[in-house]
Amino acid sequence: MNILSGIRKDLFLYLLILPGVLYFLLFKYVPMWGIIISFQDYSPYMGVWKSPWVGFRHFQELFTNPDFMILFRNTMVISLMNIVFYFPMPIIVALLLNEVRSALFKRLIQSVVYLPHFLSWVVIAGITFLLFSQSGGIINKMLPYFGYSTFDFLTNSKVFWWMLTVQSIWKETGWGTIIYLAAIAGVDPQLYEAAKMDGANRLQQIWHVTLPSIRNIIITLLILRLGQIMDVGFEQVFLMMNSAVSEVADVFETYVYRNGIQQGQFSYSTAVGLFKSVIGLILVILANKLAKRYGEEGLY
Amino acid sequence: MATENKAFGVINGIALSVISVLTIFPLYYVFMVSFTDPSEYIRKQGFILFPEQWSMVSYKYILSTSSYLNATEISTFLATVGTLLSLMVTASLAYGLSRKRLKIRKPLMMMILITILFSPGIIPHYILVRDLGLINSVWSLIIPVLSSGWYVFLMKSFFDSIPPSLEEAAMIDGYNDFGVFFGSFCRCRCRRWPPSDCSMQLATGTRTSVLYCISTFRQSGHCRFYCKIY
Repeated sequence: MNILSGIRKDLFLYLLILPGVLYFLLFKYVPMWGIIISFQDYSPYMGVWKSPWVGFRHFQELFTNPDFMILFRNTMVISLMNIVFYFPMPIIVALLLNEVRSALFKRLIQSVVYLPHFLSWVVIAGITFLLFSQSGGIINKMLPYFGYSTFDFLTNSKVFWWMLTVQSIWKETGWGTIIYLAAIAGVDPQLYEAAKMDGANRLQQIWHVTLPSIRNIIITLLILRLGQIMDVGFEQVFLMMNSAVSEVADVFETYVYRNGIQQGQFSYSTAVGLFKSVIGLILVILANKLAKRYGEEGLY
Repeated sequence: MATENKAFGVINGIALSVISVLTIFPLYYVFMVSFTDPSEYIRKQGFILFPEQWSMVSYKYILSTSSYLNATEISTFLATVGTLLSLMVTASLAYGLSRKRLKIRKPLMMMILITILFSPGIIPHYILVRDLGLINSVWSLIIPVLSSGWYVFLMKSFFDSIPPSLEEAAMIDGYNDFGVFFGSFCRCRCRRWPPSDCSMQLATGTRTSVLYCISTFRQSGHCRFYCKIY
């Protein structure tokens, strides 16, 4: 009754939020209900109501599948390499940018490093082929001049993970600095004055003033990143994948795409996707608890 | 210590320059190759830092293929219509969530937070889009991705900074929520909002203060667009 009278009083306000609420209900909550097909033998002809129930069979199938360990390893390695090597990059570049005294130079560098963010993964994959391919890539043309033999960057399973990591760093480092630069801009200048009085040089100022001041935002972003540990970015892996590296490139997302959308194994793929989402959820909750225990603000 | 700091500045500048060159080189290379004649590219085996002969052959080729023009058309449609619709849905929801009058505010926020933390995966989403009959339609690239929890929260924090007193004043003047929403939406045109003295005046919520506020804006020229609505 309370809500009804509220709606009557603020009718226009409720009308304003209506499209957004409908969107979230339809496109975010209806699919959640669709999770039940992972416990069924879903058939598009019978629909969700009539498909037979099979319990946890699809999950058993997944965990006993020899591919499971490969998928799990690839996903985790690509994600962890991303966290270890990419995640600190924007922080480092933001700290360096913050120390630039010339406003013009700073703006120039910023414009340049933001650029790759606006390219789609398809374009980046194209550029990567142009640069790294063994037959025509400029890097492989240059290597003999420095006394090295050519190298199969794109089809060598030993360097595939590194290629992905380098791509991510190249594409997103600049863009990632924005949020840290905003946080650094909020640091009280008096702290720097005090540090200077105590005889701190610029490196020490970074270490003892800037970094502790942005620690909270770093931790928040790290928690969010941990929640996405099972998402490695479908487009990037899918575009860089080829038969020579599929052993190290196949991740849950490409697997779900192949089995679910291409081959129509809806129930099994939903089970794989659900497993992925549940791990992500558990990790966010754990990381948030951990951050709170160590006296940080956390996410929620 | 002065020399130490100076050395730091120099090393910093060099490091950032190296990062910029590494970032820009692939783009520069692709740009130059795109203006190189294919025969020159083959002759030089890809070593192109600057084309000997500028050539538009590649550009002429892609413009002559119908698939390229078709793709451009679809991309433009997605970028304009998709952005516009997405902005409308996201902003109006965010505006509503930022108003304390909204009774179901807390549960709605919880509902949106959950969608950020947990997603059911791509297949249930795909089945939904398919059942809605959107497969093979350009709308499947717009409607299912109209909004996201992140965008809503981002815009909500933007609307949070609009004082409720301002909205009350507008309501007394006979504007409903649509008016206030579109009014505050145009706020992005303002450099500084609201001028501090103005919001003080508005706190009383009387008509005179609103008028006073408008005149202040007019004089300072901060937000002409917004004031028209009031």
